[in-house]
Amino acid sequence: MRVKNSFLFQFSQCIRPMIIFYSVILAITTLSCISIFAYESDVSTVMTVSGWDFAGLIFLFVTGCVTTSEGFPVHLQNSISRKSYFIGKILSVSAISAIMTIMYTFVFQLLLETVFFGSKVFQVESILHLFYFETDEPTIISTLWSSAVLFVLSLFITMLGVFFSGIFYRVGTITKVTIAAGIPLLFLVVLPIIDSAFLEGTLYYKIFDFFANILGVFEQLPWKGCLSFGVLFIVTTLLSWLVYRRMPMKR
Amino acid sequence: MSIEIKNLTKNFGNVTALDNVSLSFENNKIYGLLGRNGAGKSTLLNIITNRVFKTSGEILIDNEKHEENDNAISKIYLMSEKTLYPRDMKIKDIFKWSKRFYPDFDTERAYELSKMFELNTNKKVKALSTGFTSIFKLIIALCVNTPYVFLDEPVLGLDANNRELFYKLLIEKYSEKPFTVIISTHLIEEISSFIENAIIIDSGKVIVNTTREELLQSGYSVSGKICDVNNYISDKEIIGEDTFGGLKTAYVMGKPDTDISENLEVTSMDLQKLFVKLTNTKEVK
Repeated sequence: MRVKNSFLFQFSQCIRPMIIFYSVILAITTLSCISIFAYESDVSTVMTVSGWDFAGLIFLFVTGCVTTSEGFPVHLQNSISRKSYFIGKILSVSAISAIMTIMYTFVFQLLLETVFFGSKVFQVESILHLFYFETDEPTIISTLWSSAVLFVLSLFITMLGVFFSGIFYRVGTITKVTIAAGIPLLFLVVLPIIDSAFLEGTLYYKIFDFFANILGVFEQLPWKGCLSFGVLFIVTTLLSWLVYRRMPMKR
Repeated sequence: MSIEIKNLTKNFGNVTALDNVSLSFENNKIYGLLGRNGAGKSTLLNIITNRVFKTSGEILIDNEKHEENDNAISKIYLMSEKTLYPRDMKIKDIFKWSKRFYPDFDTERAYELSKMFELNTNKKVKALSTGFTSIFKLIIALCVNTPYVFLDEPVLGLDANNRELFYKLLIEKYSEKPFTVIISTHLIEEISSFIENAIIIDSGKVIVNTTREELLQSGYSVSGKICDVNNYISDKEIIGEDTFGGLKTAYVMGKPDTDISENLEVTSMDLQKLFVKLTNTKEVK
């Protein structure tokens, strides 16, 4: 019962942000469509939008990042154990990831594309579909596979945000700044400079190669992507539990 | 049915906030948990309610270990000084979620009390003043209906009228259906009339754990001329002295002598005075 209430609370905290997110996406897309087709006289014009899936992933990561600072104290206030809170969190992460995957697959890709805008003028391009199926026209099977990868990737990304938010909740200001500035600096500035200056670009090539292999991108095996993201989700969940299991209330 | 605390110690780095504390909170009693700033009162309450982890010791809530035990900790509601509710949440939504987390929460009564205290339940937590923030937390504490209710500085920011209203409502509720209340406050005289037991914590240690009557009878004050008072207290346990010109008041532990001099005036100590004298380590005895 405590887990159920914890899940309902954490899930309810995400509903309003999701509504705002989709409202913004729809508003931008609709305005873009109107502005393009108002001035475009060529009847063969097709508007293609891509990156909605990745926009959703960024949204999920941020959602994971912001849930701890308010959600955790509320649970302490209402005498919920950290164990129940964490299980509720996993359930809410799963539910939100599922909803966003369904929204993307069935509302945007299928419904909007075919019913609202019509596939002759409006197409939604899935970046994950491009990774795994290259330029093949989407079929039901390929769409479902890319959605499966999207779902598991969503789970992992959200849990990664949860992990970082737990770390940030527990550490002091100096450590927060070090992590928040240090990690991007390391991976986006320092390592690329070292890589290009001394390693002739082989480091990032090998990193890319490694991830592309384990995610099945080269062999175009979406099941491999599902498996790898699933493993990453489990690992991130276990690491997050280590952070949350003895998390004290902030003084 | 009780909360048992055995050999509880809590260290924050090099600071010992609680030092080998052993206590018991019995069923259906009102306790006053008293102590100076930094004595360890809030730390004790936070550890019992699983918000902070102990360094060592054991806590049992109705014979169940408390740590990470939903069943045990759900029997306690702690109204703390810190506001742990989301700042953007409306009061009425907090009532709704309190009902979910505490099934015995009386929502109807919560709205009744909101009217009594003139609390606007459509307001968000961040829009409330210090006083109204305390009020909405108090209302939840009065309506949550858990066997144990901890109140840590419950009247922070409340005006005298609202403080009186709160005490009245608390006593009424306790009279209707007794439950265990632990009040931690610096306004000792305001609670001294209705607490049954007093626990005084000083520098992380329990120095007093007794009934209110026993505590009040454990000491007295004797006043008179300095020389008369000094003669009287020469073989007594003194916890404090005040000198005004040629007169002196000494605060003595124990019972007054039966053959006390007529030049000396003996009066009972109030709880606050007793507390101040027992915990004032800077006073020269």
